Amino acid sequence: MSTDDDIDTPPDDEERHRRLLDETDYDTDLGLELARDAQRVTAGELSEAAFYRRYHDRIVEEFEMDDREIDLPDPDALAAGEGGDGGVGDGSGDAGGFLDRLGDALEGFDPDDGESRRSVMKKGAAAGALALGGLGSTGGAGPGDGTAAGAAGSGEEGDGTRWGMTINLNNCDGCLACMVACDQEHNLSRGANWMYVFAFEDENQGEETNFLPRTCQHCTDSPCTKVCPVGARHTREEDGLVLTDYDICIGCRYCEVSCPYGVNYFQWGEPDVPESEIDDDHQIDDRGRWVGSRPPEGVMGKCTFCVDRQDGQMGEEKIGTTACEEACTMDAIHFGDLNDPESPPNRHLREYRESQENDRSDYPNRKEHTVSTFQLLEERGTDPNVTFVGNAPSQDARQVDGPVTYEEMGLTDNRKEVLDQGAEAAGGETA
Amino acid sequence: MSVDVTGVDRDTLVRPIRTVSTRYLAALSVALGMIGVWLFFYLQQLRHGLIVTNLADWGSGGGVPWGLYIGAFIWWVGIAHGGIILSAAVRLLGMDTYQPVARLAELLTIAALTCAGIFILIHVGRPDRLVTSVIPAWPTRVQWSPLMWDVTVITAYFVLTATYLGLTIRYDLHRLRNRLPNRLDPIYDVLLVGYSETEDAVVERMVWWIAFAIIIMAPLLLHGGVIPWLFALLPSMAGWAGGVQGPSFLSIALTSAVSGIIIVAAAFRYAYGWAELIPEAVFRGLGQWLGFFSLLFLWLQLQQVITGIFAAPTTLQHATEVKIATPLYWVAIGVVALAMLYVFAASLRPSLFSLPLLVALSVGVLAGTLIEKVLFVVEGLMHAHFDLYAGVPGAYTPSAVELSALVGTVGIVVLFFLVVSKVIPVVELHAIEDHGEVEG
Amino acid sequence: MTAAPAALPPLLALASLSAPLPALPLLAGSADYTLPFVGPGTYLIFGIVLLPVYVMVGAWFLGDPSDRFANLLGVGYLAGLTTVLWGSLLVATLVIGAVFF
Ligand code: SF4
Ligand code: SF4
Repeated sequence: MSTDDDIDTPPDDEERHRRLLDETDYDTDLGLELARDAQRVTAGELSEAAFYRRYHDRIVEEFEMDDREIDLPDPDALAAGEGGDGGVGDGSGDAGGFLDRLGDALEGFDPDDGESRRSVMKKGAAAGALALGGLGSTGGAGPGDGTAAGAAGSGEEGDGTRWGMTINLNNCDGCLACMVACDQEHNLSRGANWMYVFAFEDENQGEETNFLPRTCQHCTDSPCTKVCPVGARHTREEDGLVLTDYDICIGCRYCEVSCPYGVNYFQWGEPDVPESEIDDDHQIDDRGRWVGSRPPEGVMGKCTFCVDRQDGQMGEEKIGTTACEEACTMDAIHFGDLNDPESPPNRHLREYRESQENDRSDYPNRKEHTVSTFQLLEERGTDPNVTFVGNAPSQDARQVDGPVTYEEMGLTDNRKEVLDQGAEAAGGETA
Repeated sequence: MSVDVTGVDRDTLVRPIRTVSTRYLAALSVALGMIGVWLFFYLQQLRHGLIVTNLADWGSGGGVPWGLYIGAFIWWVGIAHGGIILSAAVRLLGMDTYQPVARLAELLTIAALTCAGIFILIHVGRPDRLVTSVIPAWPTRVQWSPLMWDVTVITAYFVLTATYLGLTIRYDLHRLRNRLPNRLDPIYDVLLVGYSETEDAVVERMVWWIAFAIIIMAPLLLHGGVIPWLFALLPSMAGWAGGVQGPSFLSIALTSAVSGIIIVAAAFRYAYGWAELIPEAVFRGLGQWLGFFSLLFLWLQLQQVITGIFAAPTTLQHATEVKIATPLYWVAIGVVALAMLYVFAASLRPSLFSLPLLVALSVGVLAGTLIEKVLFVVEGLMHAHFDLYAGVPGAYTPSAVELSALVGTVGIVVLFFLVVSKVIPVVELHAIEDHGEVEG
Repeated sequence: MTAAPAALPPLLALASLSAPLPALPLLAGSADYTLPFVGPGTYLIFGIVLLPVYVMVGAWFLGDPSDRFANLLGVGYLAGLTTVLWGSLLVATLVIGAVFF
């Protein structure tokens, strides 16, 4: 593994870093030390906890805040990563999240102000970059682990974060709690079911009713981003989320037409929840773009994988969770970083497979487990980041009434009815 | 088949500019009324949003997100192709018979493209961003988005056609200037800036190249290209995907384009007593084109139906079965077939020819092609490949707001011709005088 | 493996100094998730669809008879009409925006 040579920043590089840091308003020595020790952390020479303790007081003194503590990467996982069990993405994924915040701390970031985030990156870049370089380089040198990375999803190995889900249909009992949670979390208008649970019967799968919770699939090769004329529908570079920029979208609905899954919900009229009742934290992401919560009138909306949570704006403990996952008491929805072998979607899939072992003593040619997985419309080549455990609905599958109806949960199934009412109301006086 | 209209004098040519009849004023108020009806409804849409249309989300929502607006958009672009067919026939192929209606056809192109643009404007949820979002995104999104290709090609088509008109009109204006009203002088001064008779030969060559550029771009790459590709490239909708959409769209465009020209030309002939200037032979010829394009249209429909029902994938089969079970589809096919049969019969037996009948059939063809386009968009969206939803196939009937836009855009085309025909000669001087016969 | 990490920090530092850059579409192609800059439209629009226009303008200037004023008038029409078209649309949309949004 790494030697001391490449952990310590060589003198002439250090000189350049010093110059870069000198250009910022902050303590140059502190920045350099932070960077050096950050590299030690990734090399396993220094524990995260020690790193935190060592600098806490000085950071608070310099920047009047220190929000590093809230999301310290688990030292054990990190050590495991160094030991060779972890994937390449493991270290750098955590590092990205942590260092983003470090950069923010350096700048005295105000989370309420999206604009300031951009200037953070600009002005405080030098200090943040030093540390990023330190962590990133070790991550890059660390050994990858092909079997674990990409256990779910498309199996590509990648750096950084790739948010995705494993949804276990065998666990889902159709209670619709996830739909309600999503509806409330994102202030959706009636019938805009970003999360939608099908109850269906399939003659090929026996008599019983099956369930399929459907989010946006956050396709890696998403047709919706290709067709958008103005680039409002886009894939966020840092973590693969497919989002809609509500400030740019012209409402042409081409994304909706091109999506094979029918997950888009246009805001045909005034949203049920007015803008004034929604915090900016829900709406503005870490790049300062308006992509979260329900869309304004005339603009396209769909499941965002709770982008506000992923950016830490709902609190650090909400990172890596979604509202639907939290609401699910049946352990059906597992959200997390697909590039991290220990993330909930990957771990669930692995553990579920291990629990469904096949009888290989009598039939040695069988595969190890009896678990079948699928992605929706895999043959479309959209490369979804949602993997389902269970049996895919066949062409003959038909949606049926589930044990819990949408109405019982205060939800609307067929949005057309709402829209027709709205149209009538609009025809009369102002709505 | 060449018809000599060189006996017609220049006063006949400028007749529309120099007269204002009560009938004209009546037509003007009808056109303004039509536009007013639409504006009334459109105001509702601007106030309340697209909720006032009958559109909705596909999927769990049980609706279709694109409807009459998109169907009508394609339809108007299709009609716009009349201009290039006629200009190309005259300019590139030397078919002088159609010279008297060539400029009318070019004007129809401009008007129809304007209406197509209006449908885009009213289709989108945020019309206020149509420029501020589209222009900055153009350099990157034109690399990918089929909708951006459309924006690009339609702009190019519009600009090329208008340039063509702007250059060819100079010859006529210069020579007819003494017959044109003085109060419009500022307009003529601008249009004639820097004119000298020596430029005629150069301009003649330039407009030949414009016609050449448009004839490749407009039919082959616009209506046989980027417009069908809006749909053909999306495998998510069973009825849309596939290479046949290009030729099929083009056949529909050409059919409706010729119908449009027949109607406009007949209207001017009737209104200004231009039987001499636009003789019956022009309409007989246009009728034959209409018949030929209708034949292509029907043939390509047959291709789609037969591939859709023989051994197609389930969703396509279902979409096709629904299509051929829709009575309106057969109305569309029926009127086009009727027009085709009539013009072929009339060319075998010339005595069967009647201009009013041809105009009536052309109106029918325009209605038929509009129906086909709207059905194509809507039914395509109803039969998504992923049909686990109870809400698929969705339901859609155009609302009054949407229908009013059709009325409004027809009004805009009428208004456009009424105004333009008072300013510039809508028939080229070349139609009545051979080239070179230059005198003041 | 020993040399690379040492070289990385300054590189990253420099890249991050211009931190707004990654938002630029030009660099978007470098990420796994985002679309490359060059797509089917590149060839289609600039290579095929606009080809007749290139030929046309080329022929205006190169062929015979040709006339500088007329040629420039033609180009002026092309540029002017495009501007007028989008300019008037801009005004219309700004009015709609001011009144209704
Ligand atoms: S599921 Fe649809 S909306 Fe979501 S990324 Fe894929 S294509 Fe886009
Ligand atoms: S509706 Fe908005 S996000 Fe969707 S394609 Fe159109 S502009 Fe893009």
